[in-house]
Amino acid sequence: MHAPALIACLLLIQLLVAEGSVEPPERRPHAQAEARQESREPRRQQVQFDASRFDSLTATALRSILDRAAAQGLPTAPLINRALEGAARRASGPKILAVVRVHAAALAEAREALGDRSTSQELDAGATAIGAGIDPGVLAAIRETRGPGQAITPLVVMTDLVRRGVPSLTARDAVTSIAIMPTSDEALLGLQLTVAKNAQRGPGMALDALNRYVRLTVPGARPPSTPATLDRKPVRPPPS
Amino acid sequence: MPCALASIAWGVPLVAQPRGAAPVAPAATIGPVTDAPTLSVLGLAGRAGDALVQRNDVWIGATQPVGQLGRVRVTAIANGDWKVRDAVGAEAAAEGMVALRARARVGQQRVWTAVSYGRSSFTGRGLGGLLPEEPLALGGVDLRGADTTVSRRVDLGSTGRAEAGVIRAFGAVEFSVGFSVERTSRVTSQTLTIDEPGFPVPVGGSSRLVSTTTTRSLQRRDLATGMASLGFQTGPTMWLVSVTSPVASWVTSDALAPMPGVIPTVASLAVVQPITQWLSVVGAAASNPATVGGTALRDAAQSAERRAFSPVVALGIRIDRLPFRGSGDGTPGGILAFESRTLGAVDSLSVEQGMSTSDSDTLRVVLLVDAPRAETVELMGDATAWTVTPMRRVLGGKWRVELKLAPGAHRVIVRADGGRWIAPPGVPIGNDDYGTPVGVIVVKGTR
Repeated sequence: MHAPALIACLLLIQLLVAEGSVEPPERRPHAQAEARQESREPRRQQVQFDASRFDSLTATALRSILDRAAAQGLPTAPLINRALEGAARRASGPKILAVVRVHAAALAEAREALGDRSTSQELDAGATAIGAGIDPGVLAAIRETRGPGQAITPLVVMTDLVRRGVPSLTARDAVTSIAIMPTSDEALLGLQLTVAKNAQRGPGMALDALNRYVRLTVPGARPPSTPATLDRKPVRPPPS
Repeated sequence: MPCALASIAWGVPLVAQPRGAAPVAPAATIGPVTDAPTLSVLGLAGRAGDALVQRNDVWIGATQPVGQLGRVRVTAIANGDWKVRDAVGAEAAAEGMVALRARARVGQQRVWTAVSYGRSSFTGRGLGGLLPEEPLALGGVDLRGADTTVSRRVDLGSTGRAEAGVIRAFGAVEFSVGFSVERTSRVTSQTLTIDEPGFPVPVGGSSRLVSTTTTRSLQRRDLATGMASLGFQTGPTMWLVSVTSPVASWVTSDALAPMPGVIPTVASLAVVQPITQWLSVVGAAASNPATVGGTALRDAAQSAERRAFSPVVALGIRIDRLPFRGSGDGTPGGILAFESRTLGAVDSLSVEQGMSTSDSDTLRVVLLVDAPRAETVELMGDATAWTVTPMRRVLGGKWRVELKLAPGAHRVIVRADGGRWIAPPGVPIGNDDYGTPVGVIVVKGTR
């Protein structure tokens, strides 16, 4: 081999080796996890981790959490968004880290309940539901009504109902009974809106509104719980 | 900067009163610079010579929204300053002012105006001894014994004022400029006790002549003042910087009255640091104390306030929600709470989903927030990388922003007039990891 060709080969090999030794940002674990997640769902807007939004200690700790989540195959975009939310709300570094850690754990729980084929948005919605105190078993029940990628609205509505004071199991029954209907996303959002409006009127009104909505929306459905006001006859006081 | 404006504007009345300096931040800015129900109590200190000394001033200010007429919101403001008498013969002063302030939007321009009326009283020694401290001998007699003193002086003053200005926001900083005209009058009653040796001067005798004379004089000053201010927020801390400067003044005074001093340009800085949701610590400083306490027209003969730079500082508390306030929409005085704002509530948020954009993975989504009472509405969320995004006012009291969103759930929060970030009413509630919940909007895919 001629010397110039040999030198060129050596330079090429050195370049390749050097490139492999420095891991580019996009090959970091959480970036790879994002790529894997994207392969299972339509391309979504990228969420970049902007370290400049945090102090250096928090940013370093966040990177560590993101890498660990990515290594577990969890989506990192919801975690980054939670961190950015904390920064925007001027939360302290430890608070941001605590929120992100808890959400990462909830994402893992949600994946266990919803299945590996769930999209990152579903996992995020499921983790939010778990954060609201909803049992992972309820998530599994919702998954039974909807295929992968289709459970976002039921999960979001479920979380909202529980946050507005509807008991978890009652909300589950209402959501699952509507979720199996065709074009049920609109019906679910209607349920959420009805409950939200009535929840402002006082205790029990949210539950009452939910029962009425389910009875009117789902043909032949039994309300998840006894109505608080309807179908209730006045009780005559006993004769003295 | 509405807040700045408000503060200035409001402060000016005080400024005008104590002729000799412009509005002092403590008095002028802190209390009445918000339309939200607040009560502020401040103690003042000023520099005398090289030392910072207690002024024995207590300043109290209160604001209360009165109501709304169309797009015009009216707020009642009251403040008072009480200079406590700290020794016999020392000065004591009290003054109070009430104002009605209205704010409105004219097209895209925010404007404000206010009318105010105040009364003040001053009791004290007033003018000091007229003879020099050095021995002054005449015919072997020290004439310092022949002193003429003002044994008592009472001032009653009143101020009427009208002001107006515009407010404009540049990013997170609000800027305001305004103009005011006022008329201040003061009636000064001086009781002079003249105590002099009898003439011819007795040697070793005790012949003295004592007479008492009461004079009454009227002064009036018309003053035009320009004001500018800006307000911003760093974290929960609110800042207000303001400058007021006399443009023109006309003084009418009879010969017996002390000459009013000249109001200098006064710069002030006020800081409000929330401690709890309803309690804040307030600190303020101004380059001249002329507007705090004292008479309606401060005398030129009074030394310290005569200088253009004679700093004064104030420290106190502000209570943001008076107990009698029905909490209403719960939107607190926010980013620029100094300002005369009644925060608009966000009534609802609706989503108008548009067509796919060219890359076919995102959709043009229009978010409409119904907040007819608000003057600014901002939004942030997942779609904006949690950076504050201003919304644009459209017809019908709605606010609009267009985003490119992928199908799915997106968390979002909004705020009106720099108030607290809230989940848009009506949309599903998501997490509340940081204290207040976020809203979730669901964007449906096109397939």
